[in-house]
Amino acid sequence: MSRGFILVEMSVTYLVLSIAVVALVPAFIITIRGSKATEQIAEAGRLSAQLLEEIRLRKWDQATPGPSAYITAASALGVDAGESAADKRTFNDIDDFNGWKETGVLDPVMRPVAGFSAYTRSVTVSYTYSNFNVNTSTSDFKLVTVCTRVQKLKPSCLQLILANR
Amino acid sequence: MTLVELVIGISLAASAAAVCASMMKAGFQTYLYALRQNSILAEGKSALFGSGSLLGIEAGARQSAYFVALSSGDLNLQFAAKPSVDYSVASQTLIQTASGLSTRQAQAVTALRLNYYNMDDNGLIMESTSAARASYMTVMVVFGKLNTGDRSYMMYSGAQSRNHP
Repeated sequence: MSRGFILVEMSVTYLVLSIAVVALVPAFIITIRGSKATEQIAEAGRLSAQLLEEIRLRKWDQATPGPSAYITAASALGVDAGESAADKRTFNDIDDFNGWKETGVLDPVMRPVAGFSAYTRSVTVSYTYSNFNVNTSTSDFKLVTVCTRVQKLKPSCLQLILANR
Repeated sequence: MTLVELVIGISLAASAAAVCASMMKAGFQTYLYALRQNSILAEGKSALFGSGSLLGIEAGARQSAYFVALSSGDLNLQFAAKPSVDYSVASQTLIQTASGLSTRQAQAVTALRLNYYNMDDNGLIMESTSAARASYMTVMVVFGKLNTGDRSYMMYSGAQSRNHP
């Protein structure tokens, strides 16, 4: 047997193992980050649902009487006279939320909700047919889409059709 | 094989074993951490949305007719056709009480914060001053740490009392 045979083999083994470990350690970091991202996306979905519930409190249209009843002439989408596009406390019907965007979650009376400053919520409202296809003219159905996004992750969006009532 | 070569070979093998051991430890810790976090999150979701026969906070609020009081840390729901249900936090445990029976809903709950709202006579949202008028609530549940090094989570949701007169 030649001298130094085991030493060379052990050195090569150690070198290969070290390279393998260096390559594998980031996998654990990615696993934890992936788990966090999954939970953030799930929370974004819950935040979309909460804003949708908040929107549903409003009447269907500016022209909807109280108590609610069917109307024959719906108004244009968006904020109406006397309302502020930057303050959802002034919104009294569903389509006032069209174009609404909040950076950092706000509660129904515009107070920031602690711990959710990284989330952004946006709303679009459009007239629609009952099959979710957008209707460019007025109809008896409004499609409300609420999307919540956190950082650079894919947004979680929920849609709801609300009928004229 | 000389003694020096043997000693060097054993030292290299010990170094490789130490590196492998640290990698395995990191793998075990990652797995256990993910297990604990998933457990906490599962309990949190059960608390908010219910599980099996347990009525969650959000689902309960949706089915209720009234919020009995405007308590920020305790939710008491009154229903039209069944006994009232109460949610409270004691010793970091979310407890549901119905018909005198208390059921543990979730562990590691450090805070339960509730806000109540209703629509005023002009159809605008306001924070409720009277429990009888409140028809919408938001809930923030904070889940604390079961072990050192765990994260805390917050879940924010809202529900409208569908059976509110």
